[in-house]
Amino acid sequence: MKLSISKNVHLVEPGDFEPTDHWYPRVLNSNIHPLVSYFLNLSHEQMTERYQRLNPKADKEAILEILKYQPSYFRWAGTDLMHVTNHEGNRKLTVIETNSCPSGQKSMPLLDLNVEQGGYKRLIEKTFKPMVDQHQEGGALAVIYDKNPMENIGYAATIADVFDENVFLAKFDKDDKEPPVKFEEGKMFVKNEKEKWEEIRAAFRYVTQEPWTRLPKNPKTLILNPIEACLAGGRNKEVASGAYDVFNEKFKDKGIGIFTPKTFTKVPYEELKKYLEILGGSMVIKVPDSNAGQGVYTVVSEEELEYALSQISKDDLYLVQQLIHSNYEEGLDKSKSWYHVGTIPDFKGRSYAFDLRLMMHATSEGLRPLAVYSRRSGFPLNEPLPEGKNSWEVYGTNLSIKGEDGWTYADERLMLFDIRNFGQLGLGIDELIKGFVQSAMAVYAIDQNAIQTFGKKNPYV
Amino acid sequence: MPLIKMPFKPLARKILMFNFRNQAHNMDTNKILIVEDDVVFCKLLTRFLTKNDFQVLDAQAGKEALQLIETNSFDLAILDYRLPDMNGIDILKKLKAKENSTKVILMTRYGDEGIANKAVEEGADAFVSKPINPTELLEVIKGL
Repeated sequence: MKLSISKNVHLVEPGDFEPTDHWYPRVLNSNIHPLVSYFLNLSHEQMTERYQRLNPKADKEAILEILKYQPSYFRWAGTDLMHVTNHEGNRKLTVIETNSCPSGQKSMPLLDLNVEQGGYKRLIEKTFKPMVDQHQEGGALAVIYDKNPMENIGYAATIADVFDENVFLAKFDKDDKEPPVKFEEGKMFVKNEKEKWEEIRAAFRYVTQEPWTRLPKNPKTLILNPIEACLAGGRNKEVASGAYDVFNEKFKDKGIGIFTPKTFTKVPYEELKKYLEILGGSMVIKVPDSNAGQGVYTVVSEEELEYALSQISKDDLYLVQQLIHSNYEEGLDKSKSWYHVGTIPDFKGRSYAFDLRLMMHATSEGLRPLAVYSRRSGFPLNEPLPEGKNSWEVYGTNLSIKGEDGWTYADERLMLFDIRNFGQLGLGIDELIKGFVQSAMAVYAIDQNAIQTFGKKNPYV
Repeated sequence: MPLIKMPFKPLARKILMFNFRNQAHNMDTNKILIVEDDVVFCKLLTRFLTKNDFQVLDAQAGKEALQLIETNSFDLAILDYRLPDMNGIDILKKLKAKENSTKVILMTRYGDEGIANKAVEEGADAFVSKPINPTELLEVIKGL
């Protein structure tokens, strides 16, 4: 590795992969839970068969079509799901959001102890490399990123090994006035050690923040994922919500659908209060293009509404969702309310809300699960919230700590899918299958939306 | 103990690394300060040096570095010349004023070679030009 070949650019060389640099310490010493390993190795046919046994109305051919789908744009995704139940104990995995270019590798125990690069290698070998091999452009390889250096150094080192060539690792920060990455007529260039622009034939992208105009549509440089995946819903909750609606309409006769909390889109600032009444005194307000837990507000009181209103712009439109409740209370609408199933109570009886991050990628077989982990909330579902504590403590699961450098996170709330933690989640293979099928449907919906918006394309060119 | 002027043979790539002090001295103590505004650089080099038995603290800005200097005693500082709020020579002066025995390696970028003389005048012990190969930097550190 050559550090700082130019400002914010490092040259990663074959042989640079160091597991301790690309996984959280806890994960390095963990062993994947056998049920999770079993799930990750299930064939599409097994998952389809099982999903239909769990959802007898579901059409098997339609599910298989979705699992074997080859996305044009959205070939690497991460879905956040929550395990919920209703008044009658009908449990579901609900889609909270779907992200293009997601994090997750650093929290995933090795599936095969003999493959030291784990999920990094599966993603690069089975998704990125086949695309690059068929892409007829000249130039070097690059990883461009704006967050999460721990995983992005890992991706760069894996690409260097898989392709046996050096890889430019370039930070493309939105606030950088002179970024080391530029595009000319759709071709990407990165600044090299002589401060000259180096041509890039293919880039692995972990640029997750606006402005999206930094990345051209239909670029000459192959990019995983291209910006179209973000614009079609991969980084915009409102556009994604529209794509899910289209999907649900299209597949309603097939007995399948993307399950999300009840959602209202394009809600003006001044109408947010009205929605709090419509939803029975609780809701979630989301800034449509926010991520990493920023710009999401859980509201269970007038005070929390006032706080949320003080934090967001009066000029924007918002996405409002039904809150998944902590506990049943008198007055809740039994036909519409959903509750967190929560973790298995610990020895003090505390059960916490949690989410599942399910990362998947498009391979020659279709969509495959790649990495999975959970994050739990900070305060239990089944204890009264102390005076002055925000409900986000009960419902929010994001691990990011403000000012993070990629190495700082709330470790005590990270729930690995390993032998120690997985059992505490109360999940089984059926939930993992249901979650994966929900996630695959969300990816399908967003990719179809991208095709509708930007046109059909061959993902390899 | 051998006198080390150039701690390694000329490299395949063009790289400038000079040890300015004609001293027969090896780093036998191990607390290092890295000051560099690129967090990835800091973390990768920190991990590399930690694996090589050094204790490392890092700062991404001059102000932050000065706070660490106030509250710590370092055997070596690896300072980037270009920082967002000051330059590496400013920090070098503060370090040497506090503890003259602290060794200093100044890092510069392509085109910054002209500052080497100034660095020597202010007491820098070595000067390395980016890009930095951690293994080669370790040789320089061991040669101080």
